[in-house]
Amino acid sequence: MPKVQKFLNGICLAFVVVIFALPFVWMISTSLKTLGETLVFPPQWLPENLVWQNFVDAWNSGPFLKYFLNSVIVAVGILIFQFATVIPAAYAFARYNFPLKNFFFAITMVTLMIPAQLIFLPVFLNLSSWGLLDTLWGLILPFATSAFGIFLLRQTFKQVPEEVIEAARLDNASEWKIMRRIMVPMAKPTLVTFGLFSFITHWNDYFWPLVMTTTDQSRTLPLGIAQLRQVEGGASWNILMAGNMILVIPILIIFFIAQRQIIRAFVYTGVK
Amino acid sequence: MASITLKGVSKVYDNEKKVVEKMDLHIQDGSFTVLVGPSGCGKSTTLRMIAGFEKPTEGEIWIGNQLVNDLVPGKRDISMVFQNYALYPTMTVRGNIEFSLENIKIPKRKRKEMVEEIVEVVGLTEYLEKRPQHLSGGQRQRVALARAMVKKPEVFILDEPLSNLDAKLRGQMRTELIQLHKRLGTTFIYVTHDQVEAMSMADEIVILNKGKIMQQAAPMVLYNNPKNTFVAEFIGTPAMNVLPFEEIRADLNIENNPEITHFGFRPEHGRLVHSEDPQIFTLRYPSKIITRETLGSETIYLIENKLGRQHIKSTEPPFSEDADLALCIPVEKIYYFDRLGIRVEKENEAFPYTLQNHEKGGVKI
Amino acid sequence: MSQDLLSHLPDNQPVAVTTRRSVSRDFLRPYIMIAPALIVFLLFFLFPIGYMIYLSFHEWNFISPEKTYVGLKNFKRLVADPLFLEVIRNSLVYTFLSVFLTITISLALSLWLNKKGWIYSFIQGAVFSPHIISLVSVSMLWMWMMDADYGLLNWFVEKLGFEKVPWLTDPKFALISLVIVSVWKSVGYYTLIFIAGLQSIPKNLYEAASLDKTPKWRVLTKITLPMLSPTLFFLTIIGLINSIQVFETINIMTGGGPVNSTKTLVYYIYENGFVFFKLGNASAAGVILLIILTILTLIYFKVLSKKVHYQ
Repeated sequence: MPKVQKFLNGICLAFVVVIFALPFVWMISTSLKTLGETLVFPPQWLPENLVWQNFVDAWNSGPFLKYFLNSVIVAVGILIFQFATVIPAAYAFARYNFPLKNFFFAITMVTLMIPAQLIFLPVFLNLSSWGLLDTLWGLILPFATSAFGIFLLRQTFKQVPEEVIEAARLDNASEWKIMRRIMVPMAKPTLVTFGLFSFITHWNDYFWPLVMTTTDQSRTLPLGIAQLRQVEGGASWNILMAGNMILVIPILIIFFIAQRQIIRAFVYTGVK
Repeated sequence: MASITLKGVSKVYDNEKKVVEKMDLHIQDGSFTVLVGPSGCGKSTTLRMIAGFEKPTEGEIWIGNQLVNDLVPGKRDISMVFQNYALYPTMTVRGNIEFSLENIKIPKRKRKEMVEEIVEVVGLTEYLEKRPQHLSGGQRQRVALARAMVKKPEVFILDEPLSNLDAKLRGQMRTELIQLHKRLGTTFIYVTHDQVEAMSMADEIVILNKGKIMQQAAPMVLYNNPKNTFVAEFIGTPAMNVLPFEEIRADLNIENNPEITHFGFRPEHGRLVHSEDPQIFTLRYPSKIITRETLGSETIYLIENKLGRQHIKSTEPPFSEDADLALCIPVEKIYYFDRLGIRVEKENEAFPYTLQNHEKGGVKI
Repeated sequence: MSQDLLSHLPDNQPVAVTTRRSVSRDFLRPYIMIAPALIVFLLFFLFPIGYMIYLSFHEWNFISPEKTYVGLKNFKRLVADPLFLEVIRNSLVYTFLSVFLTITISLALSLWLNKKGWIYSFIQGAVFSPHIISLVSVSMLWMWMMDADYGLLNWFVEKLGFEKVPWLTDPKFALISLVIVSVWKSVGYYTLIFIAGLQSIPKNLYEAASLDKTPKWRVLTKITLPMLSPTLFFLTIIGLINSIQVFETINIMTGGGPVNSTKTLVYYIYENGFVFFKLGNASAAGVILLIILTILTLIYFKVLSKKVHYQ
């Protein structure tokens, strides 16, 4: 590429980076300002002093420890249930033939197309009548399985060569043993991919906890952060941004460490 | 039509992997030259450098009288048939062949003419409006050929074009390619890992190993006069038997030549006789058969004797597997190699070996 | 046959025999394995849909146990309700605009950023990063940046010589502002998927095209784009399905206003169900959403089976 073109290309690349990185930078900067420094126009880029107090205030604005723990319990709980239901189901669909198999698999595929935003209302009503509203179970159980996961894992299981399984059967392994000791280890990359995807998705989930919880008892972190808006009258942007940093920084750190894997997790599930 | 010359060409990848090492190669204008060698020998890389898809780390590449190092592939006047055809999947057969002509702005009517002419040559006229996914492997191969030919290039490059076809089709296509070459007279550069293909098609064969040329010669020259053990063992099925010279040094009456460490003879030149057979050979060793492949017209034996194990190919009626046999090696069919695998030739050796010697069996009384 | 296989064994050798018990266990096993997942699907996906359809034919305010059957009354009312029509209009505008922008921008970015080297890996990562952080954070960040008086965006706007824009407080701008947020968050995801698609195009095709002296624009239109079309199509449909469901940004940034200009379908359902307790109404709107989603899904599968995979 000739020099001029390379230069222009570089400028455009820098521009792209700015568009995507600048908001983050702005968030960091705002989170360390005093309220006075935020309500200034034209905006002040750097704070005079680093107001770490904002983070403390954000954290103390509500039972954030509880929110955090709830988020952890819910995300991990969902993951455990998903693994428990998805692995056997994917295995069955991949390697067995049984009557009505296609029918049941079609059901699975149909649910892939059913988003939470469609069924939240009736599920809310159901959970309410079962007394599961405003509980962590209400946040975990509806996601106890994943059509995505079944689809992905089924593909992976299908790719295990038949000969390996036949050799295991010849060695008198029970079906459960085959699944546990052979198929699952071979599917580890897919499981990691799916696990990452599921964990991040449910950690960030705002909609479902919003709808299914009514008190602080079972609220999760995203809800806690969103509630910062209602503190006092008028927005304390610095505290708001500090609160969001609490939510964002852990994910960004994980992202920098495992960038390739995370990207692969999301892109892989998207490319199907 | 053009010749190809490589001067001191090397290709080194940044992890210091030398795929091609200081290669000097000259391919005759109008010839059918085959680059052959085991996987990783650098034949495909060399081909891609000639085509322009890889840049040589050092050295010059000449096509005809032109230094093409900095010329893009499109400007080198080359056509290529890829191993997996690389047909444009979204276009019809006609579209695939026409594509290059559209790019150099040939008017529609002329294009139609050229496409239909070439498609006749490869015998795919009824398939003009079909897409590649509806064609068989052999048909796709032909489309790839047609696409390459319609451009009337100076040089034709073929990168293992037959390796994805089944054996029967492969044989058929081999003859067609040879006829095509005769007809067009264009320089053909053909890459394969199959030495049988190389032997049957080439005017000249270039044998490559680990990025270096082992020998470049006409097929029969390679067969009769290999320059090193690599070539000797590469050409011929089964490969030449190469054995330590120590075992026969005493039996042979040649000047004590200390550089010779190994000797070889071809399976088809070794003779198996019954132990009781009175013929006396200078080199005669009692042997027994380990395995035997009866192929109808010939039989291939794996035998064991004091020299070790060798393959013998014979057109005589097969021996039974427990027969008491002796291996006779005609002395004039022996090749001598030094410890680096390089051929040691006696000054007054006759070349090529004449049939009379073979018939006599080199019997020494 | 089995006689021959066993005949070499001495008579007192135990031989594995399938009992009736393990035959039925073999038969049941797959069903046991898929049962947990299917139960969840039934309980939390399929049954709720049925329930929602059922409710759409009733009026219910959640507090009293009485559900009155009203037939198609809810639907008729919805279709005649100017607010609902505006909601549909908002949904369509938002959906098509954000999908169009996201796809075109990400396609262009993918073609540009599909190169090797740490710079490009870094930029790909940067472009992707908004996608994995919570939508809550993205919404609040942009809400701050779009603040009419002190927001960062308006600083740029003024620098460019314009007047400050009331991004979220003016009905003319609010919906577009939400589109901008959605595009910013998703572009990276789509870009990387396009890049994956680009990398799956066999290199040989480009080499053959270069031998054919193909000009760059022609390579794009005749080879790259056609080979990318399955991905393109897939992402468009997924984009449409996802955009129709927008809720969080609206809930956090505008609350459906100003003047209902950012009220879309899911928000409408939420409001009717959770704020106004008009459950029949909400369910009817939900059924309409269901119909839209079904149509999109059917289109996807229909065209998928026709659109050939060029392998």
